[in-house]
Amino acid sequence: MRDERTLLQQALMGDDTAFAGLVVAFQGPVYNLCYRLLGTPMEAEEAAQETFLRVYRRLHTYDPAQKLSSWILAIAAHYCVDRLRRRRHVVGVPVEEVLPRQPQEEKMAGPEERLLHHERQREIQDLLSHLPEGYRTVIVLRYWYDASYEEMAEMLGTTVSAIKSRLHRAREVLAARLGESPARLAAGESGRDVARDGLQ
Amino acid sequence: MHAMGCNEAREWMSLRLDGRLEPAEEEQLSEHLRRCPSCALEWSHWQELDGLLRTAPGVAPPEGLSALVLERLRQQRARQIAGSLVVIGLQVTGLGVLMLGAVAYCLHGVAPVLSQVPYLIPAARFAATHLVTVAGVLGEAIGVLMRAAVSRRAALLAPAYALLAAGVMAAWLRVVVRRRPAAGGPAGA
Ligand SMILES: [Zn+2]
Repeated sequence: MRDERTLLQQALMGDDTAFAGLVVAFQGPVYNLCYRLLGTPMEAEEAAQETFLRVYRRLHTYDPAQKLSSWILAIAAHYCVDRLRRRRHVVGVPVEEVLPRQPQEEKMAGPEERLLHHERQREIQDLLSHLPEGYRTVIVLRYWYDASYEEMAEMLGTTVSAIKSRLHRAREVLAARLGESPARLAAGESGRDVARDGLQ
Repeated sequence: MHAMGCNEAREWMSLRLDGRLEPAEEEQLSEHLRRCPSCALEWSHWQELDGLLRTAPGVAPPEGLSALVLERLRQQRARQIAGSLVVIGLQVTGLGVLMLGAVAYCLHGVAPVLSQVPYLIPAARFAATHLVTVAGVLGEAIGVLMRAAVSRRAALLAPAYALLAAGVMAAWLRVVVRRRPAAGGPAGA
């Protein structure tokens, strides 16, 4: 298996198979980011394709000092944020209408694992789908792209302090919703344990 | 260190989750959480949420994404090639039209001149013969003048004329200078 840098070099020299290798290597995080930002498998797939076409066009501008995955995810994030902006301004589709519908899940080993996976998938989808779009965008950029406040501010055309307060508000809403939810999940339990440790 | 209020504590929780708190601020927040049960409960919810989001299971990308991307890439390339062929075709056509136009214009301009060629030939022959005649007349005239200038009679008459002219001039100067001393000023002495 060739490593990513080699694939990149070969893709730059016109090797399509190498570029396909890059797509395979990064399609997971790219697709997930697009899916969480845009909300539907169909849009996510389109966005992922478009992201990789853009990656291909910009291969020669890639600065090796940067992490390749961050560079590719940044292209995906920018594309999806633009798409959300267009959707809001031109089409005006309410978020709720485009959100639900689950994409296929990752392959699971046992039935128990699949059940837990399914449960958590549903929980997260439920949480995000009820979040207003502006809040959802910062949460997704933070957790699925690991964007810094500065990066988010630049991408969304706002200030760092606006991003801070938007993230704060988003977490407040999500935490409240999670608090109402009767189903307690594995990650949630461990999170509470940590909190209890901190109290003692 | 001032005592932290609940509002401030809640704002800092978000920053703490993103690793944006200084160590001193971390300590301040921990201190508040130890003393304030309601903020501690809130913090536990926030941590739960953070853990849930951090460990969110990934969704699998659709099968054959890379093949689709390559397919679209090839389509784009084909379109690009077709596009550049069209551009080249247009340029060649444009250039051809321009050149044809230029050639036609030149032919159009030259045509009347060419049509006059039969009339020009006798005119040129006429001009040539008369040019010889004119040149002959001029040459003859110059020759006559030269011969007159160097003839014996002229050679004798010219110095005689010159002497006569000098004599007349001298006499005239004498008479005029003598007659007008006062009018001529001091130079008259
Ligand atoms: Zn408090």
